[in-house]
Amino acid sequence: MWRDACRVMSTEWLKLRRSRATATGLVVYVAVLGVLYAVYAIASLRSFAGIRSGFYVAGAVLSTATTPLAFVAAMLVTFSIGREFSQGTIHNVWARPLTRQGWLLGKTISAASHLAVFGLLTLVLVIVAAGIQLGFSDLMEKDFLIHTGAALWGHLALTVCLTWLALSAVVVFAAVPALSIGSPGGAFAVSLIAGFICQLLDGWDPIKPFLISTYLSLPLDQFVAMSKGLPLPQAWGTLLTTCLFGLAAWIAVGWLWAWVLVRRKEVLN
Amino acid sequence: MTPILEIRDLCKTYGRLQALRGVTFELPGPGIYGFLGPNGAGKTTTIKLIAGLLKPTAGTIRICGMDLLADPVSALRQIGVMMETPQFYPHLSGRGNLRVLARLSGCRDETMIDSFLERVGLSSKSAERVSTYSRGMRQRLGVAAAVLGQPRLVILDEPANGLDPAGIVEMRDWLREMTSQEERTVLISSHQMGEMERICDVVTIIQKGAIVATGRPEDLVRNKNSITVRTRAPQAAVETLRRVQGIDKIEVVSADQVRVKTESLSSGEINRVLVLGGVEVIAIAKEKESLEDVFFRLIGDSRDVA
Repeated sequence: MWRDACRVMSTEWLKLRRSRATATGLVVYVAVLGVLYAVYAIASLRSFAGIRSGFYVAGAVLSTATTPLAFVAAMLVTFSIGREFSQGTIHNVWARPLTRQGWLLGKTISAASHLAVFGLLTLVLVIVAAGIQLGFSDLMEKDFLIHTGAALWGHLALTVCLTWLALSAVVVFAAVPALSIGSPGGAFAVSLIAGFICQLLDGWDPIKPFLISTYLSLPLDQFVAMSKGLPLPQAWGTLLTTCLFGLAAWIAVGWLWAWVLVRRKEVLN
Repeated sequence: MTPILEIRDLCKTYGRLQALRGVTFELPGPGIYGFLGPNGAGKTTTIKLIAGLLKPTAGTIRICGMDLLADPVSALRQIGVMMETPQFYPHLSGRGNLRVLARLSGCRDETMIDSFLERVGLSSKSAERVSTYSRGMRQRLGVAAAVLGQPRLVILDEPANGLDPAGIVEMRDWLREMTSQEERTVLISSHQMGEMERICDVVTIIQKGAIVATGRPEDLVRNKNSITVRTRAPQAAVETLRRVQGIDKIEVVSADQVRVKTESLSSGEINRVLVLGGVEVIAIAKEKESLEDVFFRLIGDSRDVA
């Protein structure tokens, strides 16, 4: 299965390299990010004048960027899988000697890697811009050290990893409507509706810990709070455990669902 | 010897619709096999089942002795399929598409892509995007894609669709070369009866999800009990033949042709009668069914979609 996944990933790279949409997508995303950054940089200078920390701007921009990244995650996988069915190229692919699970794994890993490029781009741009504008020094208030710069960098790295894992769960779950519907637009619409329902349910405490939206927003929210010099409502250990176990469950359930679907899927048209 | 393809009691249902009802046939070895049937007879369903795109409701498919359901990857390694109107990634070039498919087929040697492109006459267009290709060019690329992994069994669904006459001749030559020199087995599904009669070693006819006939085209065709005589004096030929016993019907079909219906007389006997009667005979031949006649005889009048 892994060998098949590697073959699929190499073909996805071939396809992406030749697609104008790849470059266009990155350019549009960087433009959106620039606007986001400008808004937060101005807000930081005005509203949180006492903080003036690059950590805060970086955390706030990354936290907000998670929402468009979740869209990007769903779009990448629904279009990558759904278009194979809508274009009819799936006949050429599934009639080849490779396991369907390997194909699915290759597709999802490719989408997650593509997403990681967007994430990395976000991180680098935000860190460089915030560093130039505000700097990343220790967080002090009235000569009292609130958080050291080293601790903040560590937490930033952790939150980025956790967020990327959560976005990978979105990738795995978006594969389910893509396989069921077999149309990129329809699958993306279903993914959006599912995301919207999750957002609505996010306000309901009993089920909140089980929602993927929690895992998407929680680590970066914690980081933003920390970079503002606020006390953390949850210990980092607890947060890490919750996120890792929750994400593992989300990814496992999503993969199992997609795995069953891909095995049973028939190409009718 | 293990057959290249062995299908036993294959059934497929879509809800209440029974698309295939116990289809059984086999392709014993290298050669060109035709798969004929009206629209909705179950040809594409059978091909999709062989390609692993559909799951059979019942029955078995063995490719080179390997059970497709038990070991799909090994079985699919032996086949190359081109579905009717093959689809490709439009933003990639012809070569780019073949590179993608070669990798998926596990071909390490991508240098053969150029030789396949040359063989299907797409060398000069190989760097152009597939979105700019005509239907015939896509069809040629589809055939190249089907043989990429050097499969033992090549399945082509309507390969001549969209090809110009020169393209059809090239395709025919290539298919013959594939079977004679490379020892491949080719299964072709098509509606072009003349082409199938010319190219296929064996044909299988399917109707309403069941096989109605299998055999060599020359074994399937029947004599029509008609003899066509070409002569410069058709009226004299009619007068001469009217006196002969055993002739059911005589008709003048054109200015130099007479058709004689008889069950008991051979063409040689008719020729002798005419020559003795002083009628000059240019040519005489016993009429046979074409594959198209066989097809319509076997599927009867019910040409409705199954």
